[in-house]
Amino acid sequence: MKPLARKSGIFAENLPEEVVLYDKTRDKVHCLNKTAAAVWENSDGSKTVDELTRAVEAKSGAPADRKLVLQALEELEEAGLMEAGVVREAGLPSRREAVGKMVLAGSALVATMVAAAPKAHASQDPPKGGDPPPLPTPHNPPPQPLPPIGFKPPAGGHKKP
Amino acid sequence: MSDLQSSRGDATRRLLRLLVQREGGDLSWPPAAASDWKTFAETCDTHQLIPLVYHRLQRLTSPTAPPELVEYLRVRFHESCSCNYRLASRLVRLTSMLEREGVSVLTFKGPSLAMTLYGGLCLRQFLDLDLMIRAEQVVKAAQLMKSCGYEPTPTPARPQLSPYLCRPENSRHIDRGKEIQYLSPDGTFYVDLHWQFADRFWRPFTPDVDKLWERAVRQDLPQGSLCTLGREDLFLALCAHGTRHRWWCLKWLVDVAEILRKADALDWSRIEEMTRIRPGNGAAASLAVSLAHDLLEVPVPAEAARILAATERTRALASAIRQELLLRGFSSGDEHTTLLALEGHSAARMKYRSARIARYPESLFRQIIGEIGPKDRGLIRLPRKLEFLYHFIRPVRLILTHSLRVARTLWHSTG
Repeated sequence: MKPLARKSGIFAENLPEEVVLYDKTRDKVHCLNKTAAAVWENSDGSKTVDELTRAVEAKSGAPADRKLVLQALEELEEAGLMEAGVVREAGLPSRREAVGKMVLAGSALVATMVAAAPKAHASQDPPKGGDPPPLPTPHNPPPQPLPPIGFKPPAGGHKKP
Repeated sequence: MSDLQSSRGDATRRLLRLLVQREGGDLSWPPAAASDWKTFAETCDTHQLIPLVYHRLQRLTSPTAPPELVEYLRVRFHESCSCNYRLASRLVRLTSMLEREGVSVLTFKGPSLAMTLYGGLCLRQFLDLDLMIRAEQVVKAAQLMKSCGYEPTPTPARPQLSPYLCRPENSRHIDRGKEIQYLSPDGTFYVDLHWQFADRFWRPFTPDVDKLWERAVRQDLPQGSLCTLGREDLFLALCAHGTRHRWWCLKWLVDVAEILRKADALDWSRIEEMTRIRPGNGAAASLAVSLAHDLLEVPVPAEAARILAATERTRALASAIRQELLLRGFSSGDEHTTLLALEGHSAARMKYRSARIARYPESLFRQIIGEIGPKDRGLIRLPRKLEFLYHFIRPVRLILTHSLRVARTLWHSTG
């Protein structure tokens, strides 16, 4: 069986060291390292895993391991970036084996980011005064700017929400 | 200057060196700087440049950055990517809804700017969404936003944007203000609904919003298409925005630098015409170009150098901002002093100051009597028990200083 990547409904953003894929249908973002990106790009349904390994080698310019390619395929499928069932049918290792390999490899090849919902904060809050500005974290909002000329402050002064 | 300010200054200089090295290059990390990687990371966060810095570090030919820093940036980069795509989805959904209901809407900054500058959403950090609508459609747009669950709200940093004062029916607010800020239904991001780029007094420093619609362009995001500013309007709007905030966030300067690097796509004759009509906006653009050239080593196109030639005023302001950034690691961010420094007409300056006093009498009281400064203390040394006398000395000193200044101005103007 020859792995086939899912390309429809995917927007790819090529960065120098990785590829960011946006899955439009599932509204998910995936970050692929160089190996995973090369596997995903070359999984066109015409290459076996061995051919894919050679293609990845040629693309990255570094020796690629068949096991690493298999791991990448497993992770890509888990992330929904391969056509359904194609990888499993290709006789890949079980999820348990794959997880074991991931631990051995030290890190995942595909980082899937569920659209996290951080606490809202405005982006244009200028630091003020002579001290260094506090970091604009959600728990540490930057200081208040001067009120614009168009507004009168509410009676009793401003209240922090 | 405190040690913290000094180390932030060091981190900012390092950050600037990294931003200048676009293609590979080398940037050594002395052991002292390596152990202080958190300050550098905080500086990148403050200037909202995490994605760009992460990728510039990756491209260094001999990477010597501390591994903890690279790991921190990697995690934050992934968070930023996720947040950006999520915000872009919400933006497309929101603008589609508004357009469907007959509200003309332009997006600027945020996802559309990231797409324009980098061809993707990952390399530019943004935290909220900005929409521009026509002033006459504010009420309708506000109703639609409300029906979708968006709540007008002040932020902790901008409590003056009270929903009570900033309601869309308040014609005074529409006339003098520039935006209403909304919190998303899930409380995770803000949407700024603008009808102007700046409050009334600072509008001469911004592009003419009435003309934006004629030059708007359609843009495709991965999530759908939307309308955004034309490139020249975008350039001038970015210059005005950064200047208004005294370029305290280097991300804004990097945006301007990216546009200048793609200057072929700009119609400079159009910019010339626009800045001729709005010289204040030209001054803001001149300042932006000057800072981008000095701090980020961006080559300034000949056309830009001619049209946006630096005046004595813009040069002095650029120099002050550059000093603040390089020495302390941040600028004061004060829009009032920044724009007043660019304002060429003394009458306008006085008008602004008097209007401000009329509107905020308590601030006048605070400034004249309440706040004792080093100049007051420098005038006469008082023992601790008599320090209350400074509150009497200060108004006298201010009256004398300003009377002398006015007299000098009148003397020069009469010949």
